[in-house]
Amino acid sequence: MKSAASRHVDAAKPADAMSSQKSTRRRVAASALVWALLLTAPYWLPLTGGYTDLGSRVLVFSLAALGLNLLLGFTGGLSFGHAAYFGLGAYGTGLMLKFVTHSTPLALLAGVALGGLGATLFGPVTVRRRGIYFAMITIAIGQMFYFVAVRWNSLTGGEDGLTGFERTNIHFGHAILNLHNSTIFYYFTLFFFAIGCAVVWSVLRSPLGHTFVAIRENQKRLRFLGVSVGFYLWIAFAISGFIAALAGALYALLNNFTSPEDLNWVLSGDFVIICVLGGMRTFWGPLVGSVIYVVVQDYLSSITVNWMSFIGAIFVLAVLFFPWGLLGFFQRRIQK
Amino acid sequence: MSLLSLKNVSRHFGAVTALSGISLEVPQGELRALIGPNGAGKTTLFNLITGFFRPSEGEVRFSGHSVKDVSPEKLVQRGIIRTFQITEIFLDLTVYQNLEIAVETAKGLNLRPWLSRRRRREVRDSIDELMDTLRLGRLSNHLAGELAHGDQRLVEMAIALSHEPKLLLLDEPTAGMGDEETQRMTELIRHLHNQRGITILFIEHDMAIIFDVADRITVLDNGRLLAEGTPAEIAANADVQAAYLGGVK
Ligand SMILES: Nc1ncnc2c1ncn2[C@@H]1O[C@H](COP(=O)(O)OP(=O)(O)OP(=O)(O)O)[C@@H](O)[C@H]1O
Ligand SMILES: [Mg+2]
Repeated sequence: MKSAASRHVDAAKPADAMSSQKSTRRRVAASALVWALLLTAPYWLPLTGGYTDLGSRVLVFSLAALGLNLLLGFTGGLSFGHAAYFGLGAYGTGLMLKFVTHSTPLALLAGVALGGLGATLFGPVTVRRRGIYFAMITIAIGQMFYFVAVRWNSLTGGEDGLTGFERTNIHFGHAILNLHNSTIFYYFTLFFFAIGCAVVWSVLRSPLGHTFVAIRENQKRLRFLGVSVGFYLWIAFAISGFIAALAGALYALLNNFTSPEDLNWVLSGDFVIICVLGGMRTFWGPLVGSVIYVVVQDYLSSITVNWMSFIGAIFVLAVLFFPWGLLGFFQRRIQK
Repeated sequence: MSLLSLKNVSRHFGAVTALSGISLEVPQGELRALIGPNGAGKTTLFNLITGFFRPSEGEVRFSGHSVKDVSPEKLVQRGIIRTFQITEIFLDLTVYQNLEIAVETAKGLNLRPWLSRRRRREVRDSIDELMDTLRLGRLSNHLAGELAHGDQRLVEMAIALSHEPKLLLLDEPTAGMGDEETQRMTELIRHLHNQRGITILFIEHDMAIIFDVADRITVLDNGRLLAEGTPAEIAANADVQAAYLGGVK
């Protein structure tokens, strides 16, 4: 009886194959639009009153949120400590440039390694807990790094932050990549952003990504299919940490500066807000979220020091009216 | 040698004794029904066999090896697969995606960040085969959460079968199903038993099904093993009649 009724409802839906083909085409079109906008940003940004470094900032925050979202949105692990790996990436890069080498690529590599390995190392401690305890441990670990950065004055510059380093140009034989130029640095950042996107994109389409999503959906079922959930949570944590570290490393290069704020749980919370604002279940949600976040911050921080409360208000409104995030909201509207 | 063997197994939850002194042998290839009134301890027995809970006393052995301190994940890899009284599937994913995860897991591919074309085809073929066996093809692109209850149970069956179980534990597979669906599920269970030789232990309340398909029946009542035997023996057993059959029907 029940199933006969449901079949009746099914018949009213559009043919599945057709609708899935359509949604694939739509997704490809959306991605093409995103890349077209990103590739031309230095040219149209000034027309909107923006500037190139603002674009680079959006990319950096998007990349960090994209990494976090692999864990948060797709694996279902609520991390409130991702700034730790972002910040380690930033400090790793800054310290390397200041004390060891003038090579920007090496410094970038050092930052990614430091932050990524940090996440890999502290992942196992975290993934033994679930739900709110998971979140609390991620905060605790993040704050630990924060206090080290504040206290270890001689190395990190303490609360004033790390200064005295600068990104350098990259030499390819006779050719020079002039990273001092904002536009070129934007494309440099975009290149790494694209790598981050490619990694997350291909993981999501693979058995590894399917396993992550299954963890989010039903851990009990997955355990009773023989999957060690904790182990795969750890992998998700590590990958997402490496991507956050890459973002942090780029952030240090963008600003030629890093401070304990880049490690703080406030920033971790901002990353979560960005994901939720944009849409945690969507691929481009973190990008949409960070556009909103960075633009609002840039605009409002020149007007009021309390800009964070505006972000907070937007966040509350979004959660109330767009529980699936902005992008998730539109996706659902279109699919209906 | 029995595939599954329980020796004097008990399980307490605080003051509640869910199971006490259960000894049970299920030989390879048998289709065994587990019956008993609500709260008899049937699901608890499944939880002990699958490593979800530990026995308070006694021992569970599978294929001659003790399952003591073996994790549920490891027991799955040894061939014990279960379904749940309350369906456990991936509700926000499509039927296809549900089976995809199950098949990729069964093939041990979880760690792969990419798949070769050949592997991808293998996965797709296995999914199609499961869809055929369970007749789920028409629902492939539907969200599992939007399916009728009976179809969700079929999805869970398909997930369980992806792993080619040695011992299949089914917790009330036909609960809440319509007549037609119940019949399909019954046929499926019989098919898995006859054609594939899978050892099955299933909890069921529908006496017609039990007497129809089961080789042997184990009756639990109030945490104790009340009786065991062929359907004919159980039907004739006075204790069972008093405690269970008479009480319910
Ligand atoms: N995790 C638990 N904690 C405490 N008590 C439990 C737990 N699991 C089961 N019990 C108790 O053990 C007894 C047996 O429960 P069980 O679920 O095994 O019964 P059942 O035979 O499966 O019943 P039903 O037909 O209703 O599914 C019940 O009294 C139940 O309350
Ligand atoms: Mg039960």
